[in-house]
Amino acid sequence: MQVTKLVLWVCSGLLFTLNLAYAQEVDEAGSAAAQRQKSAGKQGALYAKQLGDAEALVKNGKSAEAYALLEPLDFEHAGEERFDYLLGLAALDSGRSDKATLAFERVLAVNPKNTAARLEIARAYYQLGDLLRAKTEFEITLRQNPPEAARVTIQKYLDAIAAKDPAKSTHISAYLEARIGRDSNVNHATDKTQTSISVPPPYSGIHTAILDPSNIQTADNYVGVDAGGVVVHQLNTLWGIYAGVDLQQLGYFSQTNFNALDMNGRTGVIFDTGVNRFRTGLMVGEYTLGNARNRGTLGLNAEWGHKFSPSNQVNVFAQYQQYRFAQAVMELNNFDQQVLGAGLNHVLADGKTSLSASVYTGSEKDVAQGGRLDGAKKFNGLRVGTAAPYGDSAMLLANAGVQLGDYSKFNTYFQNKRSETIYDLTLGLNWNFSKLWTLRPQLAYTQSNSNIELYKFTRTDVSLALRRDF
Amino acid sequence: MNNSGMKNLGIFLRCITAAIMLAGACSSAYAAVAGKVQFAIGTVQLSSEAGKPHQIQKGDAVNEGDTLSTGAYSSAQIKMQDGGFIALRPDSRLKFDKFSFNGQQDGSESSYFSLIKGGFRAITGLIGQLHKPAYRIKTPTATLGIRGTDHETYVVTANSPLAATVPAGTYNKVNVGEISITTEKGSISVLPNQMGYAGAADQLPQILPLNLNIFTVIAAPPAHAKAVATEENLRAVAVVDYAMQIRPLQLDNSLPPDRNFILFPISVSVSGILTTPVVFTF
Repeated sequence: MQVTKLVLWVCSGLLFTLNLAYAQEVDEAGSAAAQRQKSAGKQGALYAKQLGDAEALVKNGKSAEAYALLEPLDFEHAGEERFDYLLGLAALDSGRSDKATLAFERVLAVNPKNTAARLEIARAYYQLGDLLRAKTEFEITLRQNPPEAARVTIQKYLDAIAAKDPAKSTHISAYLEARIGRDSNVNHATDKTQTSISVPPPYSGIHTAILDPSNIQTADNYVGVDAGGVVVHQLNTLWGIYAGVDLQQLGYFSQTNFNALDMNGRTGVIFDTGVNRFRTGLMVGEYTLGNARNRGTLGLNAEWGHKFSPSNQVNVFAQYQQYRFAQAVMELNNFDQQVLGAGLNHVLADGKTSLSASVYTGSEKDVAQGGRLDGAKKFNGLRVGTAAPYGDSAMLLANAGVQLGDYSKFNTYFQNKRSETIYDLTLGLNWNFSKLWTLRPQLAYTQSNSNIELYKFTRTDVSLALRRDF
Repeated sequence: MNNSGMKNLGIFLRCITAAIMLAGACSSAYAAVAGKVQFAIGTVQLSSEAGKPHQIQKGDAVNEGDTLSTGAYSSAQIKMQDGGFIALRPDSRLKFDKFSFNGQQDGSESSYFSLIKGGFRAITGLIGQLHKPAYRIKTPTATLGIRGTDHETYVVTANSPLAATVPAGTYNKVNVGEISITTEKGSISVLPNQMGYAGAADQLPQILPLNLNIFTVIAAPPAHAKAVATEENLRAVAVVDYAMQIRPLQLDNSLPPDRNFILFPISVSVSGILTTPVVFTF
């Protein structure tokens, strides 16, 4: 009996222990499941937040940040339509077109009807230089009846692709522009009628110089005609040659002495990989003032542009140009100019507003015997600009610059070394009222602050231009 | 040492041996992993040298020696261990012949594929960056080597639907970089947006006009997709649109106008008498 009791006690104890263990296991399992559910819920909420953040970043133009946020999640969430679309946008806008196409390929594999992804993959193909495939996808998107603004954009791409048609290796573009305006200072001259100068013997001393009316600020109305064109011939996918010409003719209503004809030609080679673009060539120019040949220019230029991403580009440029005056009395002013500069261009999140800035440094070496009265010149400059959309078919343009120039020689007439700062500001509106026609009202202001009275001036030019592109 | 001690020692040694063997097996299995399935849609099957073909799932490993096959309207993306990507197109078969990568570009790395039919796109990773011969694709008619980062290869077989419109052979399109196509007769280089073609092993490869019908990625949507394109879900403009239209900065635009017209004589007045004019110019 004792043994039976003992066995029963042991069995009861074991059962109790097992029961406890089971209960504990069930409890633990339930707790773990709840924990997992809670954790999954937390992860889901975190993921939803990450997607929302990424979307906001893309919309605010911080695509690189959006890509950095989404890329680590790529493996886990690839195949989810919204994730892949956002990842594709972030990759595309931050310059990773190859990665963008992979993401959009997944979106379209899951949902071939996703027109937004199809438009974006077309953009990505265009960025990769895969123009045929881009054209195919743009055309399919166009058939999906997109909104008007997107239709306009797509058409611009299709036009650009048509212009780069490999079957058509030579491309010609041209423009004709007519302008009418009022210039407050046609001769860029001081508003003073006289100035003090130091005169050599036999009239030694400081005397008053009476300025010729032609050297005193004069306002006038004008009409202008500009025309130009460029021919680019592609030798292969990377190399091309170009030649272009620009003519600017300015006729004043009464100050005909300042009528001007500026003719410039250029030719050279282009090496373009899509990411890097190098251009170098020869420049030649002729400037006619008041119906007489004023000067000729001849020079070389080179420019390298690099695209870090679709929204960030930089360029470096260099230029060497000889200025040679036609009249004997003017030859003293012949000079050689050298310029070296760098610029950058940034596009904001809307894809239309751009900001640009450039800095440059240069010199003018006087080359005639005896040289210029003011000698050689060293100058440094800074320019900033913006172009922003105004409505659907207009762009607001603003450019401003400052240039500081110092001359090397002591000017005996003015008893000073010439030094000046030139400010300029241009505000305009480009209204593309049809595909090839542009109307541009513009205001340009220039101010020269010089330590020599003769070279101080302000100038305001208000104009209205009508341009036709071909 | 007594019997029990000997027994325990034996168990201990067996455990150590098993652990070492397990570690070795895990290590060799890790080394053999070429990549992992990041995305798969439709019928995508993996057949290993030992096992039967089976449908792959996202996250599955693709090992050295495995062959991936896709059915019609099916595709897959594999993220490779070296950071590269493989996008397998519909109705294709690709074998991962050899893959070796220890995280270093020391010359020991290699990535060899055999494309039996259909096509794939490869964005290469670290393998092949420094040691070009480390990356190679074999097809029935040619061997391809890389000098770039993004390319698409397609094998049109005699019984492929495409064989009705284009000759059978290996086609290669380069998106970024450069590819070499080699047959018994010689080798050619293919540059971005060019299409190279090798018709047979005993024919010289050649460059042909790009035919996108071979490299179709996504079929056009059905007509009823028109409703999808609305203002809400379609970006009218993007940053890349500006990049498309941008003109290179002109040198002339970087300089302000410099036109001083001080070029007429200035009369100098001395005691009220005008003297010889002085000329200041420019």
